Amino acid sequence: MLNRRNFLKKTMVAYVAAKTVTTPNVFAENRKSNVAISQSSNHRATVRSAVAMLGGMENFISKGDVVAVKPNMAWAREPKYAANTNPEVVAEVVKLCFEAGAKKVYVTDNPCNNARSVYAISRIPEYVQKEGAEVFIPQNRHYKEMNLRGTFIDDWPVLELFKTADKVINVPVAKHHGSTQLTASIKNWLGAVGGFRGSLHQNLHQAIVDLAAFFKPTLNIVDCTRILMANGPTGGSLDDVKISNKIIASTDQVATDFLAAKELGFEPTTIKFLQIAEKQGLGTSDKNEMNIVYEKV
Amino acid sequence: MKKYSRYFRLISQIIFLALFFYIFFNSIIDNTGFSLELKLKSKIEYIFAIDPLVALTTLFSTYKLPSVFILSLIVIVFTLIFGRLFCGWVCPFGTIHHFFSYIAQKIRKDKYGKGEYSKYKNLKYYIFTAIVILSIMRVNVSGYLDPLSLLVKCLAIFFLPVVLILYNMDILSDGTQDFLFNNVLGRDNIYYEQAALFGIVFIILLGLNFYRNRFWCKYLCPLGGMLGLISKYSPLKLQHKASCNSCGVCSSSCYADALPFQKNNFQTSECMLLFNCLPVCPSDSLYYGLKTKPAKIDLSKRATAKTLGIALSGFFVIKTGTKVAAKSPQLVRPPGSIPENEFLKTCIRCGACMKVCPENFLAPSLFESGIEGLWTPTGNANYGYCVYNCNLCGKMCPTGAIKELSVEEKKKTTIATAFIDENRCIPYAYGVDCIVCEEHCPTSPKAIYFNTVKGKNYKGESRKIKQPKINPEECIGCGICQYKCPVKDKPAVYMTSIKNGGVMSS
Repeated sequence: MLNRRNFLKKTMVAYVAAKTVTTPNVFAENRKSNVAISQSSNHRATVRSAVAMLGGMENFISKGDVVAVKPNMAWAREPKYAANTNPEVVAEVVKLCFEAGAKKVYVTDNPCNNARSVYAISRIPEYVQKEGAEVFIPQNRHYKEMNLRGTFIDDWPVLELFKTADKVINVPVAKHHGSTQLTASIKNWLGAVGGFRGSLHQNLHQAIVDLAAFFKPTLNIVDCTRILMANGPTGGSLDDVKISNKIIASTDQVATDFLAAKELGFEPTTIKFLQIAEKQGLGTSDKNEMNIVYEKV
Repeated sequence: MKKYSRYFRLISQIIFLALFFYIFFNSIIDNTGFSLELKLKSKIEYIFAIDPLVALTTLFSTYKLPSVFILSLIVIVFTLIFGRLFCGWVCPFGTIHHFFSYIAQKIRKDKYGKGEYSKYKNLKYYIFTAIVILSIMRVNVSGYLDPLSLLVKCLAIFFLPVVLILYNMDILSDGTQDFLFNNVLGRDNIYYEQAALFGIVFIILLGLNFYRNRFWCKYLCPLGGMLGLISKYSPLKLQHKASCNSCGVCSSSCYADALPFQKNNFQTSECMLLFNCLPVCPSDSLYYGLKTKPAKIDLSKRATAKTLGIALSGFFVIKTGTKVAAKSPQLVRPPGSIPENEFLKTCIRCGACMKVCPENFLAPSLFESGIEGLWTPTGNANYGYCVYNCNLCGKMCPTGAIKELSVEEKKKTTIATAFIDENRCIPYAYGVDCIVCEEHCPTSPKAIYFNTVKGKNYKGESRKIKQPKINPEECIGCGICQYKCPVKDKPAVYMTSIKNGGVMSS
């Protein structure tokens, strides 16, 4: 019902949403999403060049910021199986954040396997701790029940850090997924919530779009250095891993996932969550609406 | 010196209790260092290494003595020389009882007469005898009454869940919560169905101190009984000088009720060398010194015969209750467990494997393997799962009931099989997406795969449905599928103890 109170509320929400969704854009004059793709067998250099093409980390991180980095660190699998984000990539992101003046950088994830095993075997904590990041295994108290105002998810326990940090950087790995075909930027947010996540699988496409809309990362850096082409999200066989040596970076989660889908050889139009995300205004999956810059290091 | 001897005893008690707690609470994985290998911060098996009762019964029931028990010889030698030094100066369970007795002594209204010899003190000798008889008959019941096993079980199954409740109340500071998580709990999923039962046992045993000082140690403890018997010929004991006039002051301070005031009837085998009596003697007539006269242990033939009868009938009661392991679907043993009939003889029910299990998979059984298997470890995937790359339970099992496996061997060790209940499974029953089980299956190739079929969901919409299936050759029975199944109350994918689903692979 549209009475005065509701009308005011809705205008306020729309206003705030419009304010916050507008992302820092390097080429502010055009409204297209900027995407940087860089390629190199030196994975750290790849990250560095991709971020540089978007104007450098200073464009996204201010001096004194507390930054929360969200890798995909879900499975007790070694880096070579490509089930988690490449530790070199996460470490370089942390390094760039500090170079841009970040005060503190946290790296955490709510894993699907035993947390301690995942944190060790993925090697991500080991690499990022060397760069000075703080790593912690989420405990019950790190989750807070929040209202996500999603289409499918309302109240759900959320890893509070990803809402309280000044900046959030999404560092997923692109891989095949049994339920959603693809997991990259948008699907990665399932790791930022607690609760009984299995239940979300019943409407997973909508669930992950709700989450991506809620978390609003400052920047997405998709690891395509090694890609798990089949038997995802867990993998476990090197036969399924393709070496691509690529990094896709953008503030637009839909654009990164669109390009990641291409890397996996999927027709992006068949991926349901991309369509939902675009319809909800999260970003674009139209190549004409993207400024794609490519560099081989 | 005499005056201070009880303070030395107190210091020793505190040191050993602290050491015990240090080893017990540190038997968790380091949650801040992230080394590749899952390793415990301390070796919990050494708690049992000094326990001669467990060593003896294990030797009798399995004809083997794990090397770690060599340490228990030290306790035996010390007891042969000094008497029940272990009970008074070392035993952590004894120290906890001592602490409660100290409070009880302060507030007790009924100053019970300590001048009489209570024949119930002999109960511990009979309990010890019964345990030994049963272990000779190859039924290992020592773990139910051995003080160290009992303490570890009570702390692991009851006390840690209590700490978790406090931790979850959010009344503590973040720093304290981090400390508890990283140094005491090690994980924040701790739940045992039998926690309350162990709580009742623990609280009753501690509460009995308010009835009689160190009730457990005096009347029930089979290890105390064993050490009492060993101390019979120990040359060093409490002595009386000629000046003693049996005034009785010493007896009222004696927690062990060893009747030190009775010059000729002093119960040496009851004396735990607490030395409460030395400083209170008004005529300074007591001292600890050399005396070769053996202790009097007043066991009656009739009661010993009764013990034998009880042990024998107990043997048959226990044995008739034994189930055929193959007929017990819930009897999922930890990976690396030796064959069931050997397992029952070798496991000392110490609960250490449940304490260290990082995802709360192992829990004390009730009657899954009959009365003989009470409190042995079984995997329960309703409350946890077996971590694919973890081999901790076999690594620290003090008696070798669970063999030590390398991580690679562990990953190939089958302990059960998963089954799918198609009436409850969401894709089968309602045509709705799920396959959470397939996603979590850790083996490669996965033991859970799915068939895509065309069908309708419960709303009548036509769609493609992914229906999970089990590959019995690949399933190792880790239970993560059951634990993560969204049909939470009674999971639609569940494990039972049969291996490879009963399929004979060709």
